[in-house]
Amino acid sequence: MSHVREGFRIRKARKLQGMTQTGLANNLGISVSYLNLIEHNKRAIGGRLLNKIAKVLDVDLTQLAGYEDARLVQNLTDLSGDALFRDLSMEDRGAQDIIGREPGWGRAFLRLHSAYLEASEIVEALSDRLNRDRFLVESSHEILTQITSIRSFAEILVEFDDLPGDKRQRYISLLAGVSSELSETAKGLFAFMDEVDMTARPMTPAGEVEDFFIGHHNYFPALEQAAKTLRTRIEVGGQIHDRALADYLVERHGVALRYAVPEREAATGGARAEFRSPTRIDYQRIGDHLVLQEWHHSETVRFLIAQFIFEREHSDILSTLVADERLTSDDARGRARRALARYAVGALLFPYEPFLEMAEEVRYDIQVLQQRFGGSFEQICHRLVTLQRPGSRSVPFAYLRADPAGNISKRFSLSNLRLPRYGGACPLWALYRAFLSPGRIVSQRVRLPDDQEFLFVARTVDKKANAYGAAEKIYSVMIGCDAIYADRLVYGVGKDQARGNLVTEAGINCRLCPRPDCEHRAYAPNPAVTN
Amino acid sequence: MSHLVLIAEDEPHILESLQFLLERIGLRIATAHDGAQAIHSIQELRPALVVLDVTMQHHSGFEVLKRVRADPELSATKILILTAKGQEADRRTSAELGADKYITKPFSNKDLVAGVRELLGMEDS
Repeated sequence: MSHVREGFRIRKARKLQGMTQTGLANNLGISVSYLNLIEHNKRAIGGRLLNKIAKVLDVDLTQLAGYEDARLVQNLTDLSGDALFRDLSMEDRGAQDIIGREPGWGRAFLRLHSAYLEASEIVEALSDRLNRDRFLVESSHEILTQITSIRSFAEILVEFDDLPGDKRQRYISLLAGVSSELSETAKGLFAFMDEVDMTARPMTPAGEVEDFFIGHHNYFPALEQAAKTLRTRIEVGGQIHDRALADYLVERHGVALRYAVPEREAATGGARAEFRSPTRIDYQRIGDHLVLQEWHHSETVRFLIAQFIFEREHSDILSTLVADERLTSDDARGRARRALARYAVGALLFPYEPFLEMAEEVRYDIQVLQQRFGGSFEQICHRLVTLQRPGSRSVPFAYLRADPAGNISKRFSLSNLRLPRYGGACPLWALYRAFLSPGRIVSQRVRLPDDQEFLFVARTVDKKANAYGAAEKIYSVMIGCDAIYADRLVYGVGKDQARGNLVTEAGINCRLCPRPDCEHRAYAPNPAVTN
Repeated sequence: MSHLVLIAEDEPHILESLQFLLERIGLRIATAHDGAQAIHSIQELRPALVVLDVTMQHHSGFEVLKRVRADPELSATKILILTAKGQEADRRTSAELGADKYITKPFSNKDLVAGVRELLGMEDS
């Protein structure tokens, strides 16, 4: 629990009593200067003195000690981790100051954030409802069918003036009848829309980046071409090995590779490399060295070197791409730039045509693709979601990454699978089931409440630094596609309900799922879903 | 003998108008009202062209399309997909599953008839 400095509360309580510092100090038997230090939180005090102060000022000890306020500080501190505030500098002591000086404002801020979260959930529920609501889907289909009938018969009546009288009369009657049906359908739809008022727009930089990638269908021809050209300069014998990358780095850019071990960094004599954590995937440029952490796995090392090279040689392409009106802040543009650089590295290491050809040949067996192209599970899944060149596309996949707490850190969908924008996904998804069998691939056929079926493939990935005793970071990575493509995937074998195999009845997440009797329900559904 | 066309459509009014239009250009017509009936009729009658609605009961139009394309004996069968959905994903699915043409409802009779003529290699009237 955060330490909440009681000095502000003591000062406030003293002033409420109309007491001077001298008066209180005399009552307590301490010097005025010492009391001043206490009130300005320059000195921490023990329980005995605090107890005495509470008695002199005639206030409740718990109020003075700030136990309730400590909880508020903790809540405010936790809130600062929201992605909404990522670009703001919010130090922990700020929360203490707010609660210490003006707890009412702190409570108001917490209440506002809570209302914002609730409103976001409602917006997402309504947005999902508009996309999935049975009434809307069926009404849309009805309207289009009715309009099709009306248009077709009207054109027949106009074009064919030799229609027999009875047929003409029949078609005229049909026109009148279907027009009447259309009116009723439209009335029902407008009545529904009157009850709904939604705009779901991305508010966070992460949301803007997601929409930016979706807007491009996760395919960037300029990056693909640049990666293809770059590959011809680096590859040796058709392969890109670590050695080839390191040699290219030196020959082309005059930059040598160095691996950093924290204990040895102090002895380098020059600038030290400082990494925030051993599992963080990044590099540092120090002088004419590219410094990586020694403990990274080889696939990560290869990726980082390639990323550095691409960013140096094609900064202009990246800059052009992120000058997109969908990215409205420096934070969003920075995130997009990093994501595009990683996209480009995927294109470099797993070249489009050979990779797609192999993927189709091995029926998207991710482990086989790892063997053939030397990538990690996550890297291969990432690449699979980018194969969207017009005329030469892969199966359209969705991609998700989650941590053991259920938080989704990456999401992207090219399929018609709608992914939850806020919070986690349905606990029944393979994304979470994979944590029960770490390192093993889990495949699953899922039916959603609107009867659409999908095939999910998930596995945990270990971001642990490659050293004994190093901190672990485990995620689950999942790709998914419409079940119509199941027979093109090796994971689709045996997942056909017609053969009597189980299909998991699931939802998007608990808030958006109308299944009333699901044993795994963690939250009540949002009323917008069940109304 | 003129070409045989199977119209697989579960909306009776649309089925009726399509039948009228295609008979007017001299085609023989068979009809199916759901996906299961469509599969059976295609296998039995071997039509030259199938006008196939996507949203049908007992196998969607995409399921019917997959089955037809999986059967080497039906490789010559032309398929024109007819759907109310105009989304990119459905267009892509249609192409990937091997449809010869894709028309979105509401369509003009002229476009539909032109599409059928094109797939059957018929000259414009």
